[in-house]
Amino acid sequence: MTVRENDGVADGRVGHDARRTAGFDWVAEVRTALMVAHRELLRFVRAPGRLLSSFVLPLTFLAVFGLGLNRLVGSNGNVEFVQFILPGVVAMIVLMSGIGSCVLVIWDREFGFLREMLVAPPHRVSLVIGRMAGGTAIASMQGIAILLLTPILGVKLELLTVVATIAIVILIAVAGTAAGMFLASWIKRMESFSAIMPLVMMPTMFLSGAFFPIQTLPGWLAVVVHLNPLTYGVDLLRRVVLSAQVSAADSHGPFTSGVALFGYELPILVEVGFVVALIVVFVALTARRFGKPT
Amino acid sequence: MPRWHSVPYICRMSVHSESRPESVSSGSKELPAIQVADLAKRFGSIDAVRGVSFDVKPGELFAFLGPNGAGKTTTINMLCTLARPSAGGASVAGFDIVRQAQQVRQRIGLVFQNYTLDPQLTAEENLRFHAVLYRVPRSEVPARMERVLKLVDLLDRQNSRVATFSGGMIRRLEIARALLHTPQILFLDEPTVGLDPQTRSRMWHDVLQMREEDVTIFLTTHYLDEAENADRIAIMDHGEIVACDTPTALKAMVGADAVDLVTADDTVAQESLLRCGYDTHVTADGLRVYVPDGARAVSGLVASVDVELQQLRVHRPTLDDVFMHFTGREIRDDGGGLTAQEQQVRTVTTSQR
Ligand SMILES: Nc1ncnc2c1ncn2[C@@H]1O[C@H](COP(=O)(O)OP(=O)(O)OP(=O)(O)O)[C@@H](O)[C@H]1O
Ligand SMILES: [Mg+2]
Repeated sequence: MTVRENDGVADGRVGHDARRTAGFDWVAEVRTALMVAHRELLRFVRAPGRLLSSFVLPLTFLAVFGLGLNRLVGSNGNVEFVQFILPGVVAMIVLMSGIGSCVLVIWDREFGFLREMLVAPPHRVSLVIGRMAGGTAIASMQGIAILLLTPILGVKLELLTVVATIAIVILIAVAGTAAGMFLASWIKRMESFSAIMPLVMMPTMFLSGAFFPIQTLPGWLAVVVHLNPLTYGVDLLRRVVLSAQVSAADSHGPFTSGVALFGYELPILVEVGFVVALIVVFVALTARRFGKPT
Repeated sequence: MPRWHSVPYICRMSVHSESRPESVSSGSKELPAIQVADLAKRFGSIDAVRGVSFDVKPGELFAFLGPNGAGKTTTINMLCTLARPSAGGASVAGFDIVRQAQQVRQRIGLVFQNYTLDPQLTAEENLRFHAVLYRVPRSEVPARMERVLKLVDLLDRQNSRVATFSGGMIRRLEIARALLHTPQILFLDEPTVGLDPQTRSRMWHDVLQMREEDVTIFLTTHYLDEAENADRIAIMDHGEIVACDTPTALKAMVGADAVDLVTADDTVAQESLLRCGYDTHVTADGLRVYVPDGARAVSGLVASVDVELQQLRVHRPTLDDVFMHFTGREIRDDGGGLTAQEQQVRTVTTSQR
């Protein structure tokens, strides 16, 4: 069939928005992303359950593993066990919250709101970015809230450490949200989500070095742990949070940080690189899948 | 089926549609609002839409009438760029639905068959979200929100969460939302399903009001009385358009009059009527015969029925008749009607009696 170009017939007031916005409109795309993020935040504050669980869970972990096992495991002179797992718990809660943000995508698909977004003019990448921004903001705030406990647990902090810590929390939040978006692009129904979530979360959490030092693991377990992206996130956070506390002399104690690959200790920037690469892969895969109409 | 409460609107509408052709042709360059050519969609082995073609004129109220699974929603999804056609193509507001999807999206408003509001947001927040996505200039948002909320009578509930709305209020809010960005073409997929008669008539009031604002409206429905409001109706069945014309023309195609009969044995009566060459159909209550002139045909009909006649009623054809006429023919084509063998058996039974 032949398709004639719209020659912009003056048709009164109808459709004048349309003529105004031909071509790619950066401002509109950014406003879209911000609006999508804004909605994500609105939904978060309107679900008191989510707010509550995001505190109860990490505090339980800290109480059980930290205070409970602290007596048993003891300290490393400078670092106590509870201080050791604090960054692990924070990384875990940030990741969990990030991945969990895909619930809303699945929910939107099931309850129809996704169609309202997909049929709108903005580019789908703007929608994905907006969702990620919202999910990241929520996840980072949760992580930072738990980090407020650091002084109580006796962790020494410096201003630079605080800034670096926040940056890394945000990085982990972005990674978690990207992973969540990727999952949401595959999981179509709420039931599958509740089945898959623990399957993804449990091994990721417990095989990441969040709760134990990874230097002393048996071979097969060490392989699994080193393949787990969260390992690098946890280690980054731990290195930064405990930086003021750990001196070179401690590096062979029981609660050491740092990840070694093939006997080579990775610098912080390489770990950051790993996480960033992961984010890029997840975002690319997600955009690809959401970009296609059926 | 409940009739419309808003009869005045229907009357006004029919006047409107007669005055329309002049106003349409007066436009110098009149592009069809929607132009569809051989559009088809296949899901695996299911042919949901089998090559439909039609045009919708700007400002027209065009209705898709068809039973469940006819392919109405699938057609809308393709026109709204949510689904890619398997074959054929279409342009909406002058833009190709596949290659210029973004331009199409900017110019259409859509009310889906299923609810698509966020129930955890308020009415106002839902509208704001929409306004940003559709690039409504920020300075115009408050005025436009007020206008559309007033149109659907929800101004006083704008700060309530949608979760607290009734089905009818949700539907009306969706219509308000679809109008927020002043679309050229509005798609309404079964906008009145699940609404009570009052809300339905209220919604039709809204729809007809939109026509006053020169919005082209494409709607789907199961309800014959709703289709009656349209300028033109396309009857869809099994993924095909079996008829497409104005309600009046469609009714004229059926025949001038319909005669409803109830007899002691409808099967036998149908046999004898068919033998006498009457266009006879089975309805839920009895038989229906289409004749050029009801009053004159009655005596002939009575003579042709060889069983006891219990009721006879002559009426002008309705869209109900149109639908039966066209889909009935389809069903016969599918082999769903009487087979030659069955007819034989029945003829034998009749002669034995
Ligand atoms: N995503 C899909 N996958 C497979 N089949 C589909 C899909 N969507 C629709 N169909 C099929 O296509 C056919 C037409 O469906 P469609 O939803 O367009 O009908 P409809 O006319 O809108 O019906 P209703 O009046 O019930 O809304 C049906 O047989 C349906 O099963
Ligand atoms: Mg449908």
